[in-house]
Amino acid sequence: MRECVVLTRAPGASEDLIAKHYRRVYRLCWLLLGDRHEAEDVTQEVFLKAHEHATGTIENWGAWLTRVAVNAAHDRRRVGWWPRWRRATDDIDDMELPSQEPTPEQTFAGAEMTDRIWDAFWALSARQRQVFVLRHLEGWSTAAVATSLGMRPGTVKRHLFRAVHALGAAIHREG
Amino acid sequence: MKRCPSKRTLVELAMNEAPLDVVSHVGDCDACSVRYARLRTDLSMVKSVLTSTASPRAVPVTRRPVRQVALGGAVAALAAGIIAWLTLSLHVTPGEPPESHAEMYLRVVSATMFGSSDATTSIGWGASTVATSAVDGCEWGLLVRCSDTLSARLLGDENTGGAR
Repeated sequence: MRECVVLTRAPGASEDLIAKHYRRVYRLCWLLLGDRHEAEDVTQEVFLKAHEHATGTIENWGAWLTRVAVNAAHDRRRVGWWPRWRRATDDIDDMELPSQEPTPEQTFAGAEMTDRIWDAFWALSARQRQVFVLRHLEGWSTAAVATSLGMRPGTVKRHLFRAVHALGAAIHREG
Repeated sequence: MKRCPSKRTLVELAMNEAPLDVVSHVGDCDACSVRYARLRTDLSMVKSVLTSTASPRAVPVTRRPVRQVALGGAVAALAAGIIAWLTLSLHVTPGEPPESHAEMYLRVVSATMFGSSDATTSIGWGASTVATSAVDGCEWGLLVRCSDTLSARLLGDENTGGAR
């Protein structure tokens, strides 16, 4: 329903915005939340807000969308036990299966290594995942991550180090 | 900087947050250069995988926080306590414990069988007859009523015997 609103009320600029940023924002939400249904909801929410702000002067839409997405995902995570319970009880039919065709990146890293990295990533705590995604993948500063997630810079660094350590250990694990 | 930086410092360096002396040290130290290059390679690989490949599963395996486990244990213990309390309250009848009933039963039987009550002798019953009939008319769990019945019977029979 939200998608319809965004698509119908914004024939020009909003469509371009969606085409340009939707996949990135969705992936960011998915990495932060770990649930594709939640990620879809939050992504729709983000673009609805973007549509509401379409008349405003926003210079960098990419950064604006990222910030709104991070805040929305953070708010969604604070909702409580329901999303986590729902995620834990996802039906197997709803599970996202990887494509059988290997991507160039998978060929490069090796399917086994890819799986290992994903496993290690999902094994991180939610905080470690959030910090790693924002700090390393999105390139936010430590101060910005700390402000956004409501923690001290030292805590951000600690979470980041633990995440990097765990992912590195997964990469160099034998077998 | 003479000492080789820790891994944590190398991570800070990879995030462009390390002090300048660390940068210069890593530039000069072969071992640290190798460590840093390896860290950068790992981070690049992770970034490439997370941003470009599909996750093998959509349902992440998340570790349960200790708080959740503790809360679950507390809830389970509380539920078990409530169930136990309900079970006990439903199965144990209030009042005197079974030992008291047994004692009362034995006292009644003893008094009936071996006592020198005029009531039993006046009506001409043997003591064993009274005791047996008293026991036959009772149930184990209703010994108070049993003793009352016995007393009533004795008194009634006494009255009846007196009327006769």
